[in-house]
Amino acid sequence: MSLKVLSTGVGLPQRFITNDDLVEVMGLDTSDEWIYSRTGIKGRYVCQEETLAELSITAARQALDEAELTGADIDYILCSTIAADTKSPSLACTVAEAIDASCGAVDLNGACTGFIYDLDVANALIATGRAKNILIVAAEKMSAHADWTDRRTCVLFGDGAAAVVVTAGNMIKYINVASKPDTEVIRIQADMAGNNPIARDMPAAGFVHMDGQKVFKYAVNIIENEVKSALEKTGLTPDDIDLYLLHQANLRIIDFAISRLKQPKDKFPTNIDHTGNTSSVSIPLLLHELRQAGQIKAGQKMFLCAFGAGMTYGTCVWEWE
Amino acid sequence: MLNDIQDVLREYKGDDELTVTPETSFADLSLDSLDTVELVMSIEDKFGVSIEMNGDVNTVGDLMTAIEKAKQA
Repeated sequence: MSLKVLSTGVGLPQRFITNDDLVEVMGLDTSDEWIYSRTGIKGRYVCQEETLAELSITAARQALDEAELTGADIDYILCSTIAADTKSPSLACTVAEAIDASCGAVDLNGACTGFIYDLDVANALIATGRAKNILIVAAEKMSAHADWTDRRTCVLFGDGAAAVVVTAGNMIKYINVASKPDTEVIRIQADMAGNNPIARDMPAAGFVHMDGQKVFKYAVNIIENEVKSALEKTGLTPDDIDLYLLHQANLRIIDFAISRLKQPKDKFPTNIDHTGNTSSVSIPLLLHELRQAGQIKAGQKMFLCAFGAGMTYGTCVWEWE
Repeated sequence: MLNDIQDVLREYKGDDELTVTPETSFADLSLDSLDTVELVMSIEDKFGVSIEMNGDVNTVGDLMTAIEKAKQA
């Protein structure tokens, strides 16, 4: 017994910022050509007044409606986020309140890998009979952590939320989450300053720091190694996989991974051109868009792989039901 | 080793006439930081080594030094 995906939903900010907007409206010294050629990004959704909770609740309600379930039918809510609107209560509790659910509700921080971590926990909860229906919501507001004076990094990120409702099924053929501890490659300093008079000189909140070269190499190695490992364990070959859903961090990571895996490019759908890097939201957001476009069909085998700060990574092979 | 690196660079740039020296910088070849990682990973495959990316591989000579260091590790 594992799980199957019943439905999906998304919540996106209203404001869509193109690369040209970054130059003309936000005054950045960059260009569409520079950004697109280095990242594959043409635009991204960015929050103005929207809260992460609002985006999450929109995504959750959409997924619940499609599944024809209410909050009362949900046995667990798992949110993936690095920074909810409130440190306490959790984003999951805020979602639970909005959908009238009274089940367990907790946030997990697996950075960009967070959705796969949530899937792993959901899979275990269902396999042990602890829960039947689980709502997973990945939600990130990376615009709040980007340094908007740094043209190299702020152009990379987008905001949004994506939800899936999962229930008992047999989709998952392989799931693995792990980490290769290195806490300096990608880092966002939390606010440790506060106003405690005996805890002076503690760091204030920082912007996202990323060593692009190390992230690139780590990501490509993880994708290659995890494809090999997952397929060995499932008895599948790379040709058996219909779709590779990779974390949308940078199109060049995906393109380079494709060149090394020697698989057809159309097996690697992307949406980073209009979403930017939405951290843990990227895979469920891509999945939702593919479903909306009618590109997801029963029997398709998919390889999901995400990687992020920590350094964390997670992989799932599932056959769509 | 220089010839091997030159071969990888020729393939990467799609330029069979490309000639490099240890002093050639990746910036001279219009390679950005992510191009450099792709190049290093291709070199790793060719030489069977693992090269640490510390932002100090900026020229062909730097890459030769990094390969030697990785071979001795």
